[in-house]
Amino acid sequence: MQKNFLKTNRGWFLGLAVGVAAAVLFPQVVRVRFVWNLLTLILVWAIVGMGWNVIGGYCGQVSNGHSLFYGLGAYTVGLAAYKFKLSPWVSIWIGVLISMTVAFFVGKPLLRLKGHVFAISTMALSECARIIFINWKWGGGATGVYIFTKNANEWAFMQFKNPLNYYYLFLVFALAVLLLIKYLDKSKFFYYLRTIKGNETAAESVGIDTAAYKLRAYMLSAAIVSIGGSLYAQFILYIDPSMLMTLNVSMMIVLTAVMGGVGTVMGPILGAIALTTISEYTRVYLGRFGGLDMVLYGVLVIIIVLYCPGGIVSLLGRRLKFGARRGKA
Amino acid sequence: MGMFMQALFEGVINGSTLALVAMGIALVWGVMGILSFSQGEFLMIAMFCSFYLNLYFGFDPIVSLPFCMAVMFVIGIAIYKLIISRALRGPVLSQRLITFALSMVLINMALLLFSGSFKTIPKVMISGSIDLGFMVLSKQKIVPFIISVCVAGFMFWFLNKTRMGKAIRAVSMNKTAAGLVGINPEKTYAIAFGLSAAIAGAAGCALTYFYYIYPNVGTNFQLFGFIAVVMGGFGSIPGAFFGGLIMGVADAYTGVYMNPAFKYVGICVVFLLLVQFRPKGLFGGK
Amino acid sequence: MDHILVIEQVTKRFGGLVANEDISFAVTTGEIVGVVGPNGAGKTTLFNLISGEFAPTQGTVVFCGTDITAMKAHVICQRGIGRTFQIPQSLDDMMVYENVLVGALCKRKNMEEALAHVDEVLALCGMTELKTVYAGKLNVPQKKRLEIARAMATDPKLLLLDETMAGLTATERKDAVSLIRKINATGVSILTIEHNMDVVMSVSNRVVVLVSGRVLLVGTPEEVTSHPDVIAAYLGGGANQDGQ
Repeated sequence: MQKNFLKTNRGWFLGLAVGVAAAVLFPQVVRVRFVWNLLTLILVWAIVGMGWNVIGGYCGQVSNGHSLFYGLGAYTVGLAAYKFKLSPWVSIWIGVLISMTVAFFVGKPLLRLKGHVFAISTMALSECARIIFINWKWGGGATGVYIFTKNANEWAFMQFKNPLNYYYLFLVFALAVLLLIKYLDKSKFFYYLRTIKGNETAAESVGIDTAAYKLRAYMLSAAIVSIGGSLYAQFILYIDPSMLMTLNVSMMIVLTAVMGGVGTVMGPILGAIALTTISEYTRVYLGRFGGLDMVLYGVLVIIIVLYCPGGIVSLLGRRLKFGARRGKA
Repeated sequence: MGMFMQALFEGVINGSTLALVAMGIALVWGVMGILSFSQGEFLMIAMFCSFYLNLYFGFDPIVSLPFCMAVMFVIGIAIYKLIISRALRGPVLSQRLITFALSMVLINMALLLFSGSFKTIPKVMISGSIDLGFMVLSKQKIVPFIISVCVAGFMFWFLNKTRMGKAIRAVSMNKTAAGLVGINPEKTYAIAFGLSAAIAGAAGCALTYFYYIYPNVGTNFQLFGFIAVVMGGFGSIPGAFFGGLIMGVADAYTGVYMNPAFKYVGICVVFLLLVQFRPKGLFGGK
Repeated sequence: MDHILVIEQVTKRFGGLVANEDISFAVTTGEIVGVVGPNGAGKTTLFNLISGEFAPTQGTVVFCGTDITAMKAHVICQRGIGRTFQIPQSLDDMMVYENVLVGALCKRKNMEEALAHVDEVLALCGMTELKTVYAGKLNVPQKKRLEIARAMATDPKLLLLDETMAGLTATERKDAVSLIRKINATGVSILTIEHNMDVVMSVSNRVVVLVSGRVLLVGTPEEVTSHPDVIAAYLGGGANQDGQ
């Protein structure tokens, strides 16, 4: 199976090798700290976007509340380091477990809902989580927590003086998630998710336990987004609910996947590149004119989503399998 | 008792604003199937409109009301023609994201033009309060409530009695059939979107009677507006109105009898339970 | 005789409306049974009850000796009942072979095995040339064929066909009939809803006549066509030869 996976995707892996080589060399050539930060953020958003894509893109259950899992991932590593001096190498996986557990329990009732009602419910849920975290004194409350561990080993505690180390480490994580998604892309699991997205009645009629598969997709999605949140917290070494768990974050997660191409392997990565680049550059160059950066950002988002509903993937003219044509929300 | 009644009063007042926002959301949802994230921002624009009419011309918000509604109607139609009509050709998910990006643009445009400071209208025509002994009714808060009820009444009349209103309802029930009997969907959509903006405009204008005006004001009403619409049975406009009122009252009571910080949590939990047991809303049948 | 499907006194009410009342009949292994009846006789409701779309109000459905009455649709499919829908429920964003693949994955974990099975089923249904066409681009007869292919890919022991002939031309009908015979020849029992009397009579071993939710008669095509009640209730009552 593994052999076949490599063999049948030879072209893709060749492209990936070139891409990775470029990703490794680029920050060595462009030695600008701003660009390094940008690249690191792109990787975080790519991971988060790929995570959302599992439930929202492949399975068609459009969650507008994934900031919940982003926040859970970030808070777990943050509080683990701050309260228990626990290395993120361990706490990332604890965060994954917590997110998956939460997803399991809330997913069961939520995933029975459809369309806009599902979206609104997920929004309400992450809003609840935000307010609970704001009022959670032990967890830092509204002011948040700086999670820098003094005198700790850089690698053991994942806090680097050299920003490039973050970048290369996150690149490994992003690559791992990408390979997982690529592997699943042609698996029974993802074919079943696409079937559920396409037509639930048809899915039931070919023996798919739609409720169970939706829940599995939701949990996997939560796990990946949680990793993204953990890495982000580790990168900025600070956590607070109004930064991590807002509707804005939830919508950005959706936007990353949609802009790149819903339900495609490469979509979220392309989306993350486009979206993060636009947002960081507008912030730096226009941020001082209170609000102008966000106006431009919003206008660009509208234009891209409006004129490229299939995402950037469809622009690249690749054979668009399961593209975002008539994405059912 | 006094506290109970006072909370009811405050709840109904806030609920009436929410009810109008929810009606706008329900109208857009029912007619074009879009979950509109920019409804709260229409309310915000109307609030600024009312504020500047007061600042430069000394208009009372009651006087500004028809003007604000007209402006919002035109803005609504313009946004429909410019953006929404194009978005309707794309996937549902893109439509939702576009209205979200639009709300971002509108908020930040307001921030850019009017700054983020909190503004209020210094002096309004009707003020003072009625003391009933066990509770105090602020006249300033009663005005927006009356305006909301009137606007809602006007909307019901419009949707049930006029030709255009009937066309809008027909489209929201069955698009294909409406097309077959010769209703122009494009025009209907545009009017419906304009109306939804105008209703939010009325709510915003009325709200300036006692509320702060700032660019982010609309976001407070957004999620609750959605919840109200679902509670009322999505797409149902009377349902949305009553859903909004109920949300307002629930909000006030949870604020009084629970830790105010957790009132949102209370409401969201009630909502999540509700959709489990009545997925079609309180008034949406079985 | 060996019965693959036994329906005993099944009743389904929707509120006050009685869609199926006290229906009993059985399908023998290897048989093709036609279900006929005027519009609104409760044919599709009966299919939905068998396939687990919803549960009957009363009565039992027994498949291969097991009571499947309260089982969910996906479990019933896994147990060996495949079905098609009157209005094709194709997955328009997927290619034809992928539509069939999701059926093939029902009983297979391994992708290569499943893909091999897809090729067999496509060949059986004569859809090999359409393999990489998106299902959304197919015309109605092709979509109906795809429905059959997808259901067949789940390796059913019993296939429920819901009006696979409606809206087809005479030649297309002939192809469909020969497909049904071919499927039956592979050992699959078939229960088929059909409006077109000629087709039902030529293809079925036995026919169940439903009228207003009740079984009027079960018998061979000859018995059914010559029965005065059937002529009165169905053929006589403004015979609707081509369905909707």
